[in-house]
Amino acid sequence: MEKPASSEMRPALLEADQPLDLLVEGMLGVGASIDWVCRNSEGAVVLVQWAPAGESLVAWAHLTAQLRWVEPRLADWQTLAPERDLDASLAPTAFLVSPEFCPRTRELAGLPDSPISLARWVRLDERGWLLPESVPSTPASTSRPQVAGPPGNARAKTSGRSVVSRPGSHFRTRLRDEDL
Amino acid sequence: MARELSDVLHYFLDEEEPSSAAGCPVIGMPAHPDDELRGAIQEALTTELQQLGREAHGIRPGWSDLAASELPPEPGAPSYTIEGAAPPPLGDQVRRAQERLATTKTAVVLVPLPTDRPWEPEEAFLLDRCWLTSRPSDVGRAEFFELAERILSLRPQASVGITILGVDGIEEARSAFDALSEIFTARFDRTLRSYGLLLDAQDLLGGRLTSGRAATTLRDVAQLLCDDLAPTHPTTPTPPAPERNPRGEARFQ
Repeated sequence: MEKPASSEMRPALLEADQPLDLLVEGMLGVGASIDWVCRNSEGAVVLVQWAPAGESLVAWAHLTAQLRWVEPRLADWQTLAPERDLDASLAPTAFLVSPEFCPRTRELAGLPDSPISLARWVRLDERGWLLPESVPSTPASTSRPQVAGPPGNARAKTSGRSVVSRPGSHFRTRLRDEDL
Repeated sequence: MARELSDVLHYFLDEEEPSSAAGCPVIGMPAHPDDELRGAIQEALTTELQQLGREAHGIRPGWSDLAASELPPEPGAPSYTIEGAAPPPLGDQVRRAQERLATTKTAVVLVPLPTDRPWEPEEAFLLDRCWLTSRPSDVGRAEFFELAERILSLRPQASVGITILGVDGIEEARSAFDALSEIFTARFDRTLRSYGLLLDAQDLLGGRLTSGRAATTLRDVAQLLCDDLAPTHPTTPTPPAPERNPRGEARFQ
């Protein structure tokens, strides 16, 4: 399956559970291009990358590197393009789009701290659709951005992790013992 | 000459009371001026907020407001303070900083509030959002509640948040916070906000850290504070939204 054109991807992104506004296509990142750079409704940057069938694992590594590259540049983007209303305090997340995913990619997407979510690209009625890809769940993965829609607001810069709280306790932290 | 409603509106409206509500968020950080550790924590927190993309400006009482990257003069260097001249009031310094940052959406002003003198009513707006640190010792708890009493007597609608120091792990911090929170709620009938924990805080005395437990936990504290700050201003009022206690009652109303 061919990589969808931006004109086809844009409406699919807009109709996702959490709509994404396509800002830039084919942006040069670190050593390679990022297919689409988007903004979610909260102002967070969301990278969207196409992976041809059989290449999702490589695309995952590519996205991981691009996320790391993008994060320190968010404040500059915010300054250079204030009309985009980006919120540099929100960590960037990413969306890997492919007609199919290999088991190893799906395992990676099931990691609790993953800022990358998966969406399957399907063509129905002569147009493209983004369908959430189910991933193997782990007990700790409940706090990660769900693949049921494009990645949402991951406020923890380092991990996209939610605040950990305990019933009855108002104590807040994103850290776990193993982080310390 | 033709006039529009906006040209004459001030005749019909009360003079606007100076407050922080029209500017960027202000975080008041009460501490004794001689408390070097808390001073170092406050500076490090300002820097960390900047790292997270916030336009964080730290105020130095008695000085002009400075960004965290601007250091005080080296010992022996000429002082900028004019002898005999009183330093500008803290509230004025903050308002000037807010005016300068009026167009910066991610701005936040951090202001240390000296606890060795009474706070003036004109400074009360600096207490709208207070961030404190406390240790789980008897002295630490007593000091915390004394400060909370001072804050809430001057600014009953203040939001008080705390970071736990002097513990060795998350569970210990959680227990310490829960103990403080329970008493706080019972005494003041409001919720104490949690801003995590800070391990090995004394390491911050040596300057900015990029790794280690102090750096990791400070980053978490800064992120929690960021989460609570309004994402934009001036369209969003500065004072935090009323909180509810565990019984679900509205506060500050």
